[in-house]
Amino acid sequence: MEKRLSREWIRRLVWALALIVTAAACEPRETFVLLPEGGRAPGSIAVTGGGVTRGVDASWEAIDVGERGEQPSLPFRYRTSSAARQFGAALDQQPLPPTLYILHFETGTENLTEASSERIVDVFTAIRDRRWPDVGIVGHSDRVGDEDESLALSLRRAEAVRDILVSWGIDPDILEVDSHGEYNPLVPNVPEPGNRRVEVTVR
Amino acid sequence: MISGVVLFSAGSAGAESVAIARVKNIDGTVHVERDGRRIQLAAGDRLMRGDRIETGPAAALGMAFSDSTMLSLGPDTRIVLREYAFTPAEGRFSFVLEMAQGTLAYISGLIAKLMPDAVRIETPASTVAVRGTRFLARVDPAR
Repeated sequence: MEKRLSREWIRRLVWALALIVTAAACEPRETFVLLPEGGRAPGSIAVTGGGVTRGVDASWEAIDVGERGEQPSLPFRYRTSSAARQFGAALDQQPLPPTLYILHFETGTENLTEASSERIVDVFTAIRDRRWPDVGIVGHSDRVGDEDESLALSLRRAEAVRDILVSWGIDPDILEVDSHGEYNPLVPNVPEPGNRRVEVTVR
Repeated sequence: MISGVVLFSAGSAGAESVAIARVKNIDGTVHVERDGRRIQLAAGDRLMRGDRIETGPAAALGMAFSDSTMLSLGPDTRIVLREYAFTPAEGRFSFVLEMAQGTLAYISGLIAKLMPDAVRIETPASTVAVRGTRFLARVDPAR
C-alpha cells in the first residue's frame, strides 16, 4: 500500500512540474485588462483570436492570448499591483481629463445669458491653464422650429463663442467649431431651452 | 537634434491632412512615420490618421483625440492610427488602432459613447472590440 501511494505522489509531482515548466515557456503574448472608471460601469471588451471570442465586463478582469491562431484565455482577475509595473510608464503620460462648459443664450440670439457671460471666463482660464490645449465648441439646438434654422443658429452661436475667445487672445488654431444641430440633445424629444446651448470642451 | 516640422491644415482637402489628436505629454524619444517621412515627436505636435507611432526603449507619451479619447503609450511600443472618424452630424464614428507591440492605456471619449461598436484594436494575435470606458493592452514583440 505504501509503495503504491509514494508512486502516486511522484507521478503527481512530475505532472505538476511539467505544468509549471510548460506554463513558463508559453508566456502569453498579449494581455487585455478592463479598468474601473470612477462610479461608471466599466463596459466590456471582447477579444477574438483563433476564431473564438471571449469577453470581460467587470473591472480588473483580463484576458490573455498566446500566439496567433490560439484562442483567448478564460477571463481572470488581473493583479492591480502588476498594473504599475507593466503599464506605469504609459499611465504616467496620461493626459488630463477634458473639462466641459455649457453656455446658454438669450432666445433667438447669439448673445450669452448673464450667467454664461461669467462662465465663459472660466473657459478662458481653463484654456490658459493647459500646456497644449485643444478646444471643441459645439452648438446644439432643440426640436422647436425647422431644422435648418436651428442648425444655422446653433452654428452662429458656436462661432460667437469662438470669436469672444479669440478676441481675448486665444489662438484660433486650437479652436474647432461645430454644430450638432438637433443631434445629441441633453433632454431628448421635447422642445427644451436647456437644449439650446453651446458646449465647450477643453482638452 | 533637429525636430521635424509637423504640418497642420485646418479644414483643407483630404481626410489625411486633418489632425485627429495632439501629443499632450511626452518623455524620451518618440517617432512618427507619415507619408514616408520619419519625424521625432514633441509635446504639442498633432497626429494624423494613418500615423505610425514608435516609442523608444525609455520613452512614453500621452495623446488626446478630437472626441476626447485618450491614449497613452509605454516604451518600445508601435501602433498605427488606422481609422479615425468623428462627425456626429453625419453619424460617422470610428476608432481603429493596429498595435504591433508594447503597452497602451485607453480612456474612452465621445466616439465610444455615441457608437460603442466603433472602437477596435487589432494586434498580431487578436481583435479586441472595446465597449469599455478604460482598458490596458500589452503585446509582447515577436520572438
